[in-house]
Amino acid sequence: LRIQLLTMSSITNKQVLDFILYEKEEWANSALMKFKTTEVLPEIFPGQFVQVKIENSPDTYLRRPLSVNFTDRENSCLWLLVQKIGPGTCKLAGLALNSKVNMILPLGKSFTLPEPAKDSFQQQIMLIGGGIGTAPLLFLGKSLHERSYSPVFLLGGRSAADILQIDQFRLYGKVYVTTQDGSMGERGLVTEHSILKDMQPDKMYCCGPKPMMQAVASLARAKNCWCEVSLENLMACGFGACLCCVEKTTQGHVCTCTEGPVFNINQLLW
Amino acid sequence: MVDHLSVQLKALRLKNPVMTASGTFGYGEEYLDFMDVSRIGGIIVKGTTIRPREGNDYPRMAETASGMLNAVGLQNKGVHYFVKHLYPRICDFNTNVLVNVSGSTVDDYVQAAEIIQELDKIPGIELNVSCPNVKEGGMAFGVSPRALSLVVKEVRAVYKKHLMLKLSPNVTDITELAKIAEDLIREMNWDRNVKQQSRQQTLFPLLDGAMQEVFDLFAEGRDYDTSELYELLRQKRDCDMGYLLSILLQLELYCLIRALPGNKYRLY
Repeated sequence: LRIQLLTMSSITNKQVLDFILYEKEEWANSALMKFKTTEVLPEIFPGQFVQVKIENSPDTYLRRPLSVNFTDRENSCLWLLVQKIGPGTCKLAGLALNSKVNMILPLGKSFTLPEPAKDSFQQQIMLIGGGIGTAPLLFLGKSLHERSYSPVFLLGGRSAADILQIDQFRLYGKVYVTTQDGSMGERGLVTEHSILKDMQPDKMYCCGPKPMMQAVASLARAKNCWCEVSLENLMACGFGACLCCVEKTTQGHVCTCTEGPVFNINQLLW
Repeated sequence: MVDHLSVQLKALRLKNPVMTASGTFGYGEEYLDFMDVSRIGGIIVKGTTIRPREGNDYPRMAETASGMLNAVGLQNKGVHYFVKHLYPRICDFNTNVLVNVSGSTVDDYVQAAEIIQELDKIPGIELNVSCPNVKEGGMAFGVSPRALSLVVKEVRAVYKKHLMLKLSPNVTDITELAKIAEDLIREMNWDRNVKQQSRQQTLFPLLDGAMQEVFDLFAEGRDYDTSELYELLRQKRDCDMGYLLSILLQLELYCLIRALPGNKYRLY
């Protein structure tokens, strides 16, 4: 039995780890939280998420699924970008430095990374993020950059305050911005940015509010472009036991936590 | 210590009285990274039906301060998928693996039970009689004495291993239906275990009033390890060790779900 348990564990490879918050940058509606663990950080791919236990928040029974914003495995560091939405995320974002936070990780399927680019041919890759949905795109941008791609980032928000980490994004590619109030970049929605008229990307990756992702999916279909989106369905367990976070796909109801959160738009019914 | 905790339910022996309710623990394999499932008395896997079911549309879950409520709608890939793909992965767990069987007609229950009976390492099934009976206008089997009797009789006629019921709580007097099932069992010399489903609130089936004492201990807000907690409980309550340990095991499951590290417990 022991042997079998170990084998199955090695396949699934989820870990429960304690982290310490060592640095935090806080804004009105969100916070960038940098965590460190004394354990070896498991390999995490862009698009995967962690289930964070929220301490001292009586109304927060379930862990909160948050996509990984950045990792530094050498130093066992992991960044999360947290939007203050409800009591749980507000409590998390309000944590003091050196607080201990428990996470289950890594969870879910990642974005599909292309083979490293060759000099002679480079695909045009566009990463589109809306609001807090930009969180996994920084990690994805870094991974693409490491594979010799120069992705184009298209970031959208209601106002300039929603456009976070723009300097970090610029390390990995060109950044375009839209805001609904026009306080940064072009005024309007991400799907209305002028760059989209000129560009014919080979691949699009998207994360943000569902209506935005649906609009991006339509756009990708119109451009006949390969596209992956990262869903934000409400989750409970985060590892496929409760079947609460399902999305209706071409394969029927599937768990967003185990079969996603990243889906190719061809799998989705929208 | 294990002997103190063991429970005999007719032919079914549990090493301790802790089982996971159907739907709260997937097929058990989802938790292997976090715990050794052989530590608990049994696992009742997700509701299984003769044909695949898509379940209810999203959203299906609401969080509460003390747990979560869900309405998954028996999503599962059907008994044949279970036999071919899931059973081989979970059959060697060193604990009792029981299958929760659901259906829309009596035939559905009977066919699924017959198929599961062939699985050597599944010692029993639990009938979920809260399902709507399509031949009776969608009324749940478990709320009608006639339908309940019929489904129990027909399944028992083909299923020879441990059979238990998960009654519906949506009745005026659950004892009436429990009695009907029990009488049927007695008449037909069946296993007597009738399991009452008290609430559909999932994840963690709390034990009885003794749990309050555990909660009181936690009111201090500090961490306890297992032996310390056991000692505190023993002092507070003069009862046998098996009973106390069963509380601790339930607590451990609770902490697992809250994923507290190691053997430390704290209630918030």
